[in-house]
Amino acid sequence: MKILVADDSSTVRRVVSARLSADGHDVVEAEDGEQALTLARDLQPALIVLDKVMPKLDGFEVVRALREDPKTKGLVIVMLTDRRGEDDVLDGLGLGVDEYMPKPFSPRELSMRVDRALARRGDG
Amino acid sequence: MDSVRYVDAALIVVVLALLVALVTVRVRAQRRRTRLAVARERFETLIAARLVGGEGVPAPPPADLSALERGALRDAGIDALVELRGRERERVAALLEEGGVVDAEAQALRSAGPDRRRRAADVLGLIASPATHEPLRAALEDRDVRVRLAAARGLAELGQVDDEWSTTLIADAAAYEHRLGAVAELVLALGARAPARLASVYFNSGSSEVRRIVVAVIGELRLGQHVGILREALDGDDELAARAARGLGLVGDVESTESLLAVVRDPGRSWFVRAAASTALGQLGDPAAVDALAAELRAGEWPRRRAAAEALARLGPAGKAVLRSTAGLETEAGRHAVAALDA
Amino acid sequence: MKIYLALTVAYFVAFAIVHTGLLLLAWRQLRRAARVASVTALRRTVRSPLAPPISIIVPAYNEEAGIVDSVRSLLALDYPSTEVVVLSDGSTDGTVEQMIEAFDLRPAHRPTPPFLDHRPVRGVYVPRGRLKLILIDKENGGKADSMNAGTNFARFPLVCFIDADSILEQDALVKAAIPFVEDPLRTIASGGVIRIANGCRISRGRVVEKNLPRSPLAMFQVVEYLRAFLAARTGWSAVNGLLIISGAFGLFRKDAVIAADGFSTDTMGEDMELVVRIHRTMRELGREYRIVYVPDPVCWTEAPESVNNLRGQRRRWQQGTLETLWAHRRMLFNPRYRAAGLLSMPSMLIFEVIGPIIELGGYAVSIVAALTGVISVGTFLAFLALAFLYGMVLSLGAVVLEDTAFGRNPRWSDLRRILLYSVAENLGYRQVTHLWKLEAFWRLWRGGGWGTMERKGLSREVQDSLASEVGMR
Repeated sequence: MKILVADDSSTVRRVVSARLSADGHDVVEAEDGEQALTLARDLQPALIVLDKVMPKLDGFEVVRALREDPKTKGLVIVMLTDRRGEDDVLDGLGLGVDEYMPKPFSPRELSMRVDRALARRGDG
Repeated sequence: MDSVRYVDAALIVVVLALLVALVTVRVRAQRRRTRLAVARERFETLIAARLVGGEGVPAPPPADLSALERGALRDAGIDALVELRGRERERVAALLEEGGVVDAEAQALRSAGPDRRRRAADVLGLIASPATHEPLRAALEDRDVRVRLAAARGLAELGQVDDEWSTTLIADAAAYEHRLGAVAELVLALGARAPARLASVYFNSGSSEVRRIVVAVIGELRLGQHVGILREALDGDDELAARAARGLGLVGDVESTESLLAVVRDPGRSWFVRAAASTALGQLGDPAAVDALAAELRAGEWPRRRAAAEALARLGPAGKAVLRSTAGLETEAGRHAVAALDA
Repeated sequence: MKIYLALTVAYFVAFAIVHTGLLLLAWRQLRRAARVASVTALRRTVRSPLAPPISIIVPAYNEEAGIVDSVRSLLALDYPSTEVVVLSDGSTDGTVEQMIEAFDLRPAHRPTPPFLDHRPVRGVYVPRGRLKLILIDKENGGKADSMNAGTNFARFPLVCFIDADSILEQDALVKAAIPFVEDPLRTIASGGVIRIANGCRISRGRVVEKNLPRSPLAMFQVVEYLRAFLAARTGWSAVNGLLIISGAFGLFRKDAVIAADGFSTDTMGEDMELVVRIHRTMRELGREYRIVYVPDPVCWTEAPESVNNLRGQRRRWQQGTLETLWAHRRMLFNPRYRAAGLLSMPSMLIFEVIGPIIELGGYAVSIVAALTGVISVGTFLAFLALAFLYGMVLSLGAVVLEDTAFGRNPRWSDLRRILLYSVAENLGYRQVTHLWKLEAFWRLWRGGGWGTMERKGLSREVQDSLASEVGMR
C-alpha cells in the first residue's frame, strides 16, 4: 500500500521508510506539515504516519485539515508523539487519529500497528 | 576635538574587520554544512538499513572516517537512539560501536575542556552498550562535577548502579547546589532503571533537597515499592511532607488515609502541606475523610478550602452531600463547593 | 561649545565601550549555550516528568480576529504539561463568543483566588471536553490588570505571559523552561527573543515561512532589535542585571509574581517595572536568584509599520522606562542591588534617558559650531562620522553575533539587506527614535505627575518553589 511518512527528523523518516518498505509498502516522505498535506492530497496514500511536532503545520492541524477535506477524509492516520499522558491520546482520537504511537518507539511495533490499522479500516 | 579623526579611523578599521569576519565565517560554515549534510544522509541510510537488515549491513571502518564524518555518524546515531526503543536500539548502538564512535568518545573523555568531556559522557550514556561501561566508570572520577554527573546518569540508565557511589555522588552533586536539575535527572534515571537504589539514596543523603527529589520521583513514577519512604517522609519538614502527601495520592496508598487525616487536622502544619494532604485524600477515595475535609472547607487559607472542596467531590455520595449542603450558603466555602460540584 | 562637543564624543566612546562589553559577554554566553544545548537535552526536558507545568496567560482585548487560532496553536505546543488561561479584558467585540464557539465552552462557577487584586470577573468558562483551557471574562482594566487576574487563576507553578497576537515557535516554551529545570532553586524568570513577523507567511497560528519584512520601517526595527535586544539583553543577563522581560513572551515563577504583588497598573512599562521590582524584592529578602534571557526560544510579533504607530510605541516604552527608573530610584548606584542597581539601571539611565539628549544636543551644537567657525568643517564631518560609526559598529557586531550563533539568515540576499539597513538605521532612524524618547520625557514632565508612587519592595513572603507548587495546584 502507499504510505506517507511525515516527520521533521530525517533519521526517523529514514528508519520508518526502511521498515515499511521492507514490509512491502510504497513509501513517500514529507518533512513538514505543509508538505504532508500537499502530498496527501496529491498522492492519496492509504495511510499516513505523522509526527505530532513539525514545522510549518503541526500534526494535529494536519489531521484536522485531512479530515475536513473530502478527498482525504478516509485516510488512516497513525500519529507519533513525544508527549506522555492519556489526555493527548484522547484528544488525538477525538480528532480522528486511528492509532497513536508514543516515542520512543520500536519500528517493528510501528510496523505491526500500521498493519493493524490498515486491516481495521479494510473491514470497517 | 581633532583627535576625533583617529577615533573614526579606528572604528572604520573595526567595521571592515567585522565585515571580513562575517563573510569568512559564513562561507566556511556553509561549506561545512554541505559536507556534514552529505555525511549525515549517508549514515542515516546506513542506520535505517541496519535496523531492517541486521548484522548483514556492515559499518564503515573507523579508520576511513574523518573527524567530521565520525561526528555525523555519532549525531545520526544519537538521533536514532533518542527516538527508538527495544532491540532496535541495541542494533544502532552496535553500529556506533563498530564505526568507532564509542572509542572516539571514550578518547574525548580525556580531553581538556569540561564541556567536551561532559558531552562525551552524555553520548556514551545514551549509547548504553556494554562497551560504554568502562569509560563511564572511569569518568566517575573526573575532576569536574558535571562530567561525573553525566557519567553517573549514563550508568544509571544502564542499570549499573551500586549503593556506594550513587549516594556519595548525589550528595557531592547536591553540595554543588546549582546542579540540582542534574541531580534530579540522575535520581530520575535511578528511579526508572534501578528503583531499588532510591531507598539507599534517600536514607544516606544528607541533603534535604535530594530527599525531596527522591520523594517527588517516587510519586511521579508511581513506585509503589517505596511507599514506606513516602509514609516516613510525611513526618518530615513541611516541604518534604507536602511532596510525600502528593506522592501517596498518586501511588494510591489507601493505608495512609489515617496519617493523611492527621496532617489535615494538624494546626501546626503549613497550609500547603494540609492542602496537599486533602488533595491526596481525594485521590484515595476513602469516605472516612469526609468529616475532616468538611471542616477544611472553612479553613483560613484559600488553597486549603479549594483542595478540600475538590477532594470532597471525589469521595462519593457522602462527600457530594456535604458539598451540596454547603453550596447553598453565600460564603467562601459555599463558592468553593459550587465550583467543585460543577467541575 | 567645544567642551560640549568633547563631552558628546566622550559619551559616544563610553556607549561604544559598554555595549561592546555587553556584546562580548553575549558572545561568550552564546558559545557556551551552543556547546551545552543539544536536541537530546531538549527532548529529555520535554519527556521528563519533573519538567514544571506551565500556565500560559493570554490577556486579550478585542481580539476576535485571531484569538482562536492563537489559542489553538498554544494548546498544541510541544511541552509536557500546560494550560491556557485566556482573559478577555472587557472586550466589546466577539472575542468571548468566538472562544465559546470554537472550543465548546460552558459557563462555570469558579471563585476568584485572592492572591492578587484586579478588576472584577464577570464570568468563567471551561471546555466541555478535555482541553486544558479556561476563559475569564472580566471588566476592563488594562493589560497589567489582566495579567494579574491570569496569575490568580493559574493552576501551575510557572506562568508564561504572552500577547494575544504573539506566535510562539513549537519549542519556545521548552527552551524558556530549561533554566528552571537546570537551576530550580534560583531561577525566577526567563525571557526569550522577540522576532519580527512582518513579511513572514503565517498560517493557522504558526509561522510557516520566515522572510524579512518588505516595509523599510519594519526592516529598521529588525536591525534595531538585533542590536538592542539580542546583544544587550543576553549580555546583561550574564551578570544577572537583566531589567526587562518582554510582555510579549516571558516565563515567571508564579509565587515570585505574587510575592512582588503582581504587575503595576499605573505605569506604561509594567513588564520592566515588575522585573526591576523582583530584583529589588529578592535583594531585600537576601535571597539568591537569577533572571535569565535565553537567546534561543523564539516568539514572533507584528511590528508597527506606520510611523505614527511606531512613534506611539516608542513613546510608551520610554515612558515606562522613565516611570520605572523613577519609582525605583533608590536602587540606582546602590551596591545593595548589585548588578541591577550598579550596572544596568545606571546604564539605562545614562544611555537611554540622558544619552538621547546629549546626542541630539551634540548635533545641534556641532552645526552651530561649524557655522560659526568654532570648529572646522573637517572636524564637523569627523564628528558626524563618529556619530554614525559608533552605532554602526554595534549594529554590525550584533549581526555577526546572530549570524555566527544561530545562522538564521541563510540567504545571502537577506544578509545584504540586513547590512544595508544597518547602515541606514544609523543614518537617521536611530536619531529619530531619540527624538521620540525626548517627546516622552517632555510629556511626562508637562503632565505633572509621574504616575507611580515609590513602591515598597517587600510585601509577602516568597514561598519555596516546592511549597507553592504543591499548595497551589
